[in-house]
Amino acid sequence: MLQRLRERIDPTDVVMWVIGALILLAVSVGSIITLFPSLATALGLTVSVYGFTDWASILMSGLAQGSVYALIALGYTMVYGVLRMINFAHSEVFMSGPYTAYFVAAALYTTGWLDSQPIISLAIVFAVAMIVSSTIAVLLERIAYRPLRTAPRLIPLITAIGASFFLQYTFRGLYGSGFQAYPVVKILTGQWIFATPLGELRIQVIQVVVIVAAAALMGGLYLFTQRTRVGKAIRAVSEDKEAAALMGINMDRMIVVTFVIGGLSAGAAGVLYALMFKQVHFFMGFVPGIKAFTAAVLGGIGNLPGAMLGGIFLGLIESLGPSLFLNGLGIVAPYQLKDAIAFIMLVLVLIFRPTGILGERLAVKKA
Amino acid sequence: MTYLRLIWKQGLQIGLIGGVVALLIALTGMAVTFNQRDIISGVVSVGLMLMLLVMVFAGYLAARRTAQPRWLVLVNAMVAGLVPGVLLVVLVVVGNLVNLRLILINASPMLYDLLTFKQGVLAGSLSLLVAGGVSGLLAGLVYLLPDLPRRVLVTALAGVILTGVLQDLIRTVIAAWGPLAIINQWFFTGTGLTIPGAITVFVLVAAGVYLQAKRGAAVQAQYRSLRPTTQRGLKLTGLLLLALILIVLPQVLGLFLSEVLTIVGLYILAGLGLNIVVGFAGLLDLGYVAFFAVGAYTVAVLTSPELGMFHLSFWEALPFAVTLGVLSGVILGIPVLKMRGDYLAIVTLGFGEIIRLLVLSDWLRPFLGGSMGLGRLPRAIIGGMTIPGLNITLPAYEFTGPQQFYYLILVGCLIVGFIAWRLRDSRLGRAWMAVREDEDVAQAMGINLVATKLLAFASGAAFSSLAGAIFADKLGSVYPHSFQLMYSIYVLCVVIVGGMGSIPGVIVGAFAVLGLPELLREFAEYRLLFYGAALVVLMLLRPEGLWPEALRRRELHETEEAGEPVPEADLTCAPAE
Amino acid sequence: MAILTARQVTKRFGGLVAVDTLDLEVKEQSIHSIIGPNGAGKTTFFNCVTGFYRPEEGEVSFNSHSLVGLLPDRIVRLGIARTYQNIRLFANLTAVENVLVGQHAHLKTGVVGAVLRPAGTQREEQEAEAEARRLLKFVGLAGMGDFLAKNLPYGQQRRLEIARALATRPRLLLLDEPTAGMNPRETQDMMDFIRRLRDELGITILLIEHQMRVVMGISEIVTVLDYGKKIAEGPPAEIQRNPTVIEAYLGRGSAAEFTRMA
Repeated sequence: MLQRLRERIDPTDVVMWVIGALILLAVSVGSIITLFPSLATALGLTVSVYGFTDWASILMSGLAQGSVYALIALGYTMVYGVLRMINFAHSEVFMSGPYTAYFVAAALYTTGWLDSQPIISLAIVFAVAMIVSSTIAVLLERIAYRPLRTAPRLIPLITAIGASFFLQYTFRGLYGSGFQAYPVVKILTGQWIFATPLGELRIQVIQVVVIVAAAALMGGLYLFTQRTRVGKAIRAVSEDKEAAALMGINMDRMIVVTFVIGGLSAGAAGVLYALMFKQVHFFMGFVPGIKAFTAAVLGGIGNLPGAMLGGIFLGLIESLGPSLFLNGLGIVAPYQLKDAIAFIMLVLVLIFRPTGILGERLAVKKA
Repeated sequence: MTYLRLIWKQGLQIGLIGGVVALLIALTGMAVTFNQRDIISGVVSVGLMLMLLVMVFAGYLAARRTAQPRWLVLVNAMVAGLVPGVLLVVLVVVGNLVNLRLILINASPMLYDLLTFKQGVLAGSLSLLVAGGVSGLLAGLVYLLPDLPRRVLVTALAGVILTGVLQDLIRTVIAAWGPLAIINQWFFTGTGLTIPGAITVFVLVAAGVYLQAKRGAAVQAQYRSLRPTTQRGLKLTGLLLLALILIVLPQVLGLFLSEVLTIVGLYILAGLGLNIVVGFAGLLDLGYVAFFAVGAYTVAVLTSPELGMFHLSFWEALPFAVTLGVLSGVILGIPVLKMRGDYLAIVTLGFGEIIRLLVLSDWLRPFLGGSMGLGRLPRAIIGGMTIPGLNITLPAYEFTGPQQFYYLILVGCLIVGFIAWRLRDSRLGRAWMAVREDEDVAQAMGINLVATKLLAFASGAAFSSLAGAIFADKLGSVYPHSFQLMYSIYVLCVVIVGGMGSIPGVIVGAFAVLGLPELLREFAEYRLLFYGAALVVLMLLRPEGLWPEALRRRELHETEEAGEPVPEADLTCAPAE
Repeated sequence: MAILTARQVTKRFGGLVAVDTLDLEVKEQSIHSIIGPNGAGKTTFFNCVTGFYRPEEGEVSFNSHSLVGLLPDRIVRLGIARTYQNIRLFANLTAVENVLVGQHAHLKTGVVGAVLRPAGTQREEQEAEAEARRLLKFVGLAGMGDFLAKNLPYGQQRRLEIARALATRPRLLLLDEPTAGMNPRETQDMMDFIRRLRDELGITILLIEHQMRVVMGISEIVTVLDYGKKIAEGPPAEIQRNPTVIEAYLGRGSAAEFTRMA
């Protein structure tokens, strides 16, 4: 019987489960210690203590960042749904919009429009960003991806990587390598302070704006895919390409629409990101891109609500992580490892639940 | 189809693409940066040549797409060359009216000067248009030439351009040969080729191509007709000559070029490793830098006097570095065993980044040096020991600079290359390739996927950590900033550009990807732009790379076994022996 | 004398039952066919036998060795090989290399041997290459060894796949639609070849087929599947007259017509 057991369970699976358990243990221990600082002194660790206000602002910033990740993740998940490939260059689609819109925003700022007519100005900035991002996305599809649709999987992936770097450095060449500071929009600055029985609640205006805007866009997108003809056609193509073609759906056009939508949401996400972090540069897409991809996988790649959920979830974990469990383990300067948390999440999801939280609707055909 | 539509499809479209390329070259600053170097001194700079080449290529491609009739070929070619010129003129005109520099930082007065041949807006624009049209037209004419004159012309021109671009390298090499240095004065001035020099190069290359075309086949036949022992003798002499050159090279080339060679060599080492992972086994590992870091940091930690924990010499630390590399290869390989393609790439990328963040963090600073890294590593020494009984001290050879490390790296490359070659033609190599082609069926052939994939990761990691160890010693220190994602991408480019799975391809790839930016300093700033474009273009046009191996192998065999015709459906031929 | 026994094998994909409580016995050194309309679960069953899928319920045993839960590379070492409905060769490897991969389980050289190439390894490689070329000749591909698999014409690719399967030295060979896309002459050659495999090499053959003349021509036993269930089993002549089978293929009502015509 032992031999039968050995034949069924892979030793590598055991290793993975052990690693997973260890990580879970570390996270739990760290969190407990942070939440009960007396334990820390008992163990001889130096641990920062956080109050209600701190946790609240950590949560808010996590939500805001997560919303941005969710918007970007939409692009990854939709393209994966129709083409079964990861658009590695989506991070540059994300970057190109806000970077180009920066100049528009700067111009609006110097002419004073930004503050006198903030809604219209912001609308213009968003529009420019979204159009530029979509254009880059469509060009990518046309030039780099379409000719390679039938090639073995490795080839389009390498093309995507090449396109990503090409775009990064082209924009660097065009706009310069510096960090450009996004102009501050007066109505978006400041914070709201509420006094609650647990402590002070500080919410930044910009965070709320980001969350609401992202939610609105995601809601709109969801309705689009569920209610409109084009949206349904895209869903059909992601389910079963051949059947969709047999139903008379024009594959090429649907794929282009997918890239356009992905580009629009990425461009919007980019502006929100730029408004939150107040700067743009040619390399800004790389890390958010990977994190958004993680979010897409977390939620279940190919699954739109999943991408949104995954984004929020990732943003929260990433924000809470350093303060909650890394801090509790006595790690110095835990915020330095914030990005590592996202990467580790990615690895964990792909190992333990590759179909994501909401599951992947794709069956794996082996023979 | 009316001729107008034809012109649109075959001429204008290509012209527009060429125009966009030309605009990008101009606006990303490449044109101006490359302007600093002349191909032919005082006549044409690399920057200008680049723009002209775009127009020429556009014209040539348009000609090729048109094919006939003759006059349409020329018209389309001219149109295709003209359009980039038009777009550039638009840029110049707009640029003179509006300050584009606020957005596009490279839209500078220098750019406009370059584009207008320093003749001001009006005259310059006209010259641009003329240049465009003429370039296109010439390209079309070249296309219409018969085969041999075309090849001669194009190769000779390419030769002149290449000589101009690589002038630093050529000048240095010739200068090292004492009396022959006079050649330099004939060919080169400070900034580029002399006019007589350029003409000489053109004639020489043209003559070479012509002779090869006319006599090449005859010479090959003569070689084949020689007795096999003579053939072998010739091959052996060739190899000995190559070995001699390799040994003498750093002394000939001087300090700077030896340094370039060591960098290329390290990337050949790493590339051979990634070639196994990506080329043989088809696993796209984007976190390859992790193993490089493991190798480098192991050596650093074990030998660093700053850390003071261990006091090993480089040679003692080396086996630890490689062993740890192999272990980390296995450890990082286990989680990704069941992942395919895209996921594998991203996860390995994540691993690479995790390692980088850990190495950079303050948390691990006491062990790994944090953002300051570890320095003052002792250099490797051979010999220098005293034999106790005989009281003789062996002479010490210390690896101090690039010219010494060259030999260490050369030996490393030879060993690793040998191992890679042997592995490729073995049962394991076939298993890797089967896994690459079709993992599920490979498993159904009895291949243990876990062991095979882990062996691939382990081998790749071993080579990369070896490269990292040597790198750490050569630099004398390790900083976290040396271990970025870029390294993984560079090595990937080396493997892809050379040809996935091809061992000589790795050598070609390393020279192309790492050597060129060192030789062309101006090019270095646009490295990744070119690499990215190169990857895309290669995947679209020539996915097998610059020097694919399987192709040559199969071509060789095809001629050997072509003799035996096989009846189509003869399944009932001779019974099994 | 059953070399392969399947009992109550059930394979589900979500709500779809692809194979439904299938009982099957393949007698040693017989030629046994599985037929049925498209989607009847034939290839899925093959996948369950070779370890690609794990059946939810049921038992599959080969020479009283249980196969369920084993990985494909273990199963092939027990002596089961297969070919695929859509040819799955190693496209960028040569024909010889494809067959050499088939021998993987029987060769012993590891990493160290690969690098050092001691005499034992060299001998092993030489013998393996000789065997590979012999197998290629056996299937009629002599001299084609150094062509890339993807460049071979269709019929030769099918034969190469069989050569590769034979290289694993199987006792049981699963052939998935071996005559798909072949003209009558090629089909006849394939039928004779399959018989040779059993007669000369003693290999038991289990095949999935659509061409009735092949099924009737060479099988000793035919199992008919429909919607994952076995609906008939027996010698070819019986199956040909079985109304349930005819109905499954041609639809209800045709059975009566057919028997009237027969």
